[in-house]
Amino acid sequence: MTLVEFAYSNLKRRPARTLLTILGIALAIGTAVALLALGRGIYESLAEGFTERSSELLVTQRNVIDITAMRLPESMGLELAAVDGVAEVSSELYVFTSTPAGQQVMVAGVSDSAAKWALVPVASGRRPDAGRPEIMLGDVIAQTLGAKVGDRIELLDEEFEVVGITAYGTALNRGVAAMPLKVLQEASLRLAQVSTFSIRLDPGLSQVRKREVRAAIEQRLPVVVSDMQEIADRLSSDRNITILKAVSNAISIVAVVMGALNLLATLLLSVQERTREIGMLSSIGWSDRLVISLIMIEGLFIGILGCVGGVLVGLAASSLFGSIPAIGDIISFTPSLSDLVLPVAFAIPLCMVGAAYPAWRAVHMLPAEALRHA
Amino acid sequence: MTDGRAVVWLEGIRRSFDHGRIRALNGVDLVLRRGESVALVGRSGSGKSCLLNVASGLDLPDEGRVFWDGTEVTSRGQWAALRRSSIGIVFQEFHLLPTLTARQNVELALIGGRDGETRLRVEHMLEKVGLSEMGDRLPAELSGGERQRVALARALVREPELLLADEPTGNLDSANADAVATLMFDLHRKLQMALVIVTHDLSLAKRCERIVTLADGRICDDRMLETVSA
Repeated sequence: MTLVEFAYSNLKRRPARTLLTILGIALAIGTAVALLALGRGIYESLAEGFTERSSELLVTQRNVIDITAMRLPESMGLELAAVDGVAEVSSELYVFTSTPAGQQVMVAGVSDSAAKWALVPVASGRRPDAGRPEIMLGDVIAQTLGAKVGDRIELLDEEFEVVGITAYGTALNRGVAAMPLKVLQEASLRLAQVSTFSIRLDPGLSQVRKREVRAAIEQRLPVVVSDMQEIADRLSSDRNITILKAVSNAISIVAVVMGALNLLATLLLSVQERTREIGMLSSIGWSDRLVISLIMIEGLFIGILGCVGGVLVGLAASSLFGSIPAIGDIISFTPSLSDLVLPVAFAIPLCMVGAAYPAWRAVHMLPAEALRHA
Repeated sequence: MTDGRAVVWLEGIRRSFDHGRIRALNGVDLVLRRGESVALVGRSGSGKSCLLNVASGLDLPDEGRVFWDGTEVTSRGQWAALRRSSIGIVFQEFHLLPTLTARQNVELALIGGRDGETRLRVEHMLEKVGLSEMGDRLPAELSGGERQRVALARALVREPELLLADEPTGNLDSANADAVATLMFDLHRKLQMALVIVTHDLSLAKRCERIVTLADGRICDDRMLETVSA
């Protein structure tokens, strides 16, 4: 019999307690996995949403973070188009509003460029006609509003006919409504204003030339030009997303620490119950190090099984959350490898710390004292 | 049996409990020699078991020194190493793990050793204590005498130089007590180890070559068998 086999047999002596401890750690790890997936999912949903809607480069107002608060003159589009190397410019206006019933809706005003509207995928119905009070809805917002093609909805004190449902794939865009830019500008009293410009550069430009074009635009105008990766990077440092990620990370840490405390309590109880047995092991020549190794291996067993269970719980919870429309339609909820590895990498050493104290308790007593223990 | 060389030498041992209110050992000097058999006798609370614990490092004295083979032993680590290599201990309560078989209980003393060597030693020792057919039984499936034999096999599997037995027959009926005692003395002779038995049983004590009597934490008598009165 090896030390590992003996540790395993000790855990089997109290199967219910061992299983409950493993379950406690599994739930803690599962919670951490799900929360990390949530934090990353929010960021990725936004980043994917921008990628899905935009062209090569996005022009945004300098020093403004909130996209609905950006106010750029529509005429800036002509200046952008005049920059050498720019092939096409289109503009978008974003307004966050609500229906008379209080349902919040993000509305995108899309410039009347046929190329820009061609990027809006249609699931059913058609795209709005220029200048008409017509609107397309993402399937999620359509479901939220209970609207279908042919219905009329009231936004910004005006009535719009739903002429189509978009077929976007990302959670962000599935919750966005789209209408002609001019129509939204009038309805939101933001005439001649846009939030962003999308730019397509001349085909075949070298990377050096692309950087020169971007520098030229930023030198002439009070804007920031970003590619989609930079947009994603900037979103990851957005204050709201940073707070969300910090909260989910903090709760993850609390969950994992709770799991380790659970292990500590179980092993403490186990060591307490086995005081005489540990005295006997000392009496037959077990060194303190060997006794500590035994308790630590028991802790490691429970920790590893808890982590494996936790990863499964996390995957199951993420799958479950993703299948709930109220959650899965808004946030992509697929744990990445790092979401699985991070809590485990944190939990295993923490479980070892949780096992270290009971192990120390096990050997701090003289063997004779341990053997007398009631 | 004895070659006269000291295995353990206790010098001026004092040990008290309950913040000094209970004085278990009060200045004990004792030499245990290689190959001899010694009975520690005395009334309950006279300090017999405490002396045995100090002689094996299971307990540490408040005052006094303990030497093993001429070297002073001071740390728990030194004592653990000695118990692993040279000291076997048997208790009145067998202290067997209920979920392990007889064989596995004996193997416990060898954990960390080489697997093949461990198996041979365990089988050899189970055979010596007459349990080679019962190695796969759990302690609950064994009689009291058989359980004590398992405990004896566990204590002797490393072939120690000193076997300390604290009331080894105290939990056994007379037939089993006699069988276990006979086995113990037989192994003591075969393995040529020193044997120290703490006992209230005078008939068991009389099977030893030397009897040490304790009273109030002191040795009040230390004599060879032929001078002990019945």
